[in-house]
Amino acid sequence: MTWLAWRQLRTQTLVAAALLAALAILLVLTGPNLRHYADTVVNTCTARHDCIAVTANFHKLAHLANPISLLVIVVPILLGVFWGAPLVARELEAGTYRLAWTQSVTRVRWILVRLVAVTLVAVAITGLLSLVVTWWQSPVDRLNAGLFNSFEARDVVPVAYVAFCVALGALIGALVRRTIAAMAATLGCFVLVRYVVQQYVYPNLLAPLQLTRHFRAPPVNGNNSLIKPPNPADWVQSDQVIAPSGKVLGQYGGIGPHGTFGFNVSNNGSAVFRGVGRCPNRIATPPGHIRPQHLTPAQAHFLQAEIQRCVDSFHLREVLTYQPTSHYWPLQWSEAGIFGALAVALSAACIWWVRRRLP
Amino acid sequence: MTELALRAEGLGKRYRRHWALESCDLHVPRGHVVGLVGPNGAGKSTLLQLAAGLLEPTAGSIEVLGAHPACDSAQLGRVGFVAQDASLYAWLSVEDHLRLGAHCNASWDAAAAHARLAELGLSPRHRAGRLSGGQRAQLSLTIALAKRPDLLLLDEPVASLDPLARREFLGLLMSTVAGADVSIVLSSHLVSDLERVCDYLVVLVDSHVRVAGEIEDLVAGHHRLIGPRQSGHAAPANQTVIAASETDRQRVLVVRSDGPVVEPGWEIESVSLEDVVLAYMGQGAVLQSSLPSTPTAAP
Repeated sequence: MTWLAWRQLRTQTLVAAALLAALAILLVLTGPNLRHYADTVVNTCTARHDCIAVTANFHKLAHLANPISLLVIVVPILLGVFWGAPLVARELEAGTYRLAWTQSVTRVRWILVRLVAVTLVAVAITGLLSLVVTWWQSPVDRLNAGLFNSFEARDVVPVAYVAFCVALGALIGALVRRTIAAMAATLGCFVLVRYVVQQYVYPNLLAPLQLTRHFRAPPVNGNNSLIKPPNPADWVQSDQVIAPSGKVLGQYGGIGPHGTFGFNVSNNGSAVFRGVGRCPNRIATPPGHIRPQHLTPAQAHFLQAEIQRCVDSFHLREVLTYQPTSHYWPLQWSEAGIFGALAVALSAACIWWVRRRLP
Repeated sequence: MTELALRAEGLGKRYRRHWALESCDLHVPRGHVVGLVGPNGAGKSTLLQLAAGLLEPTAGSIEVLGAHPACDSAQLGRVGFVAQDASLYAWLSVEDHLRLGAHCNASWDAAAAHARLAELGLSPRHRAGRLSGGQRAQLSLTIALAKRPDLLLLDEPVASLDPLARREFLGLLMSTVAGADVSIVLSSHLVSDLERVCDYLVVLVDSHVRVAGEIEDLVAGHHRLIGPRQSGHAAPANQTVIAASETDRQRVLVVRSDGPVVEPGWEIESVSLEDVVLAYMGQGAVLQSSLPSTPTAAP
């Protein structure tokens, strides 16, 4: 039976392995160069004050980064759709199950061996792909401080996705009994499950950490000063402004769902903190001639103090919720564990269905 | 040899609302070449697939060689199955199909399989998808035979073949199994296919087994009675009327009886196998129930 399982898998395995080898050669040839540039030129740019130019140059060198990341997301889906879905469906459609199931191999053994063979090959292909891409992308990820940005396209998670997608495809194929329909349904179901897990499960897998501070008005002159997570690569889940009552007044370090910040000031100086309430103090016009957008430092300082007095009167807190980089691996393993467990459950369901319910 | 090749008790198979096979009782001893005959859609394929373990019964039970079909690999190895339209992997070569058989069966007669292919003139490197219908059937049969089964099931093996290929296939089948201790069940909707090779017959009509038995007994146990149309009694008393037809002056009955038929006023003729099958396959059942007096079965 192992022979048949391998014979049915041989051509596609060789094609996939050849494509993977070609990609690996490309990455191994370009990777060290990229790494060297990141370690030397980009690392020392602050001293030479040419960071913007150097970073742009680096991204030009790494122009393959996005398509390659996409590849790691797409390959598990392709393998599930093209290898998993036809596994049972094509046998039923072509009638060849009548040959396969009347040899001296029980149906359970037949489906078990075939499922294991396809899953092993798909896992090996995806694992090697993820390994080489993760290595190649590491200088890019470091520069982007985006450890969590490409979470689903690095390390072990893609391997669990492919095991899940293959099992999903096999089960749907056994249920639907039509190859093309099963392929489409596999694609749809996989995307749906990934979406649900990503939206509702993944953010709650590990309790995030929080940073809290007294809410400060953004400077009237200059850059916004939101709280920063301890490590720029940390994954900020939310940055909320919270009233003493516990009511959430705004997101993104501001007021309201879009994180804005502003006042309605009337001619006599009485002011309303938009989205919060009426200020107890008047916000007076700064002394001197005022040119819009060009306050003098003294004028800005005066206005900043007036605004902050109003803001302080509401005793607001800004709370930053984030996953630190130290949570990266626990999250990787949890996500992989979830999809791995789903893969095992769907495979078991597929074996049961083939044994009990087919044809 | 006491175990039966095929034993069915109240066997039934339902697809959604439709019963493909219903309350089927069969006791077929080993050592026969069994013809399974009936019109298209009578349930022949369903019965064979139940016996091969490809289908699970909805009602009743079936035993093949004394065990539940496909219950383990030993049982699977004892039963060879040639599917309708000879299901093969189109992209695998002839040689690969033999390897498949060799790797998937504990008892595999590789030498015999290769010899058979050579005899048939099938090139081992041909892809199965390129073979003709006759060649596909032959390859399927070769795989089934190389398992050295105790029971060989063939589902409409010659339906897609031209008359010459038909004759060749059945001839080769018979010469291969001659002398071997193997029981065979093969189905067809044509009696003429089965007449030359079978010694046991099962007639399946409308999902029901109409009659089953050794062909000699069937032919000897049925007669054609020809009598006047206006005869006083509708049917002879100690016989089962299988089919009846009337012309202007004559009434023709096909009857089943266990003993000799002596019927005054009726002309008695012996029947061919085809007559028997046609009597069961035709509107026999309908006519029988519409006869004025209900015939009673012979004791």
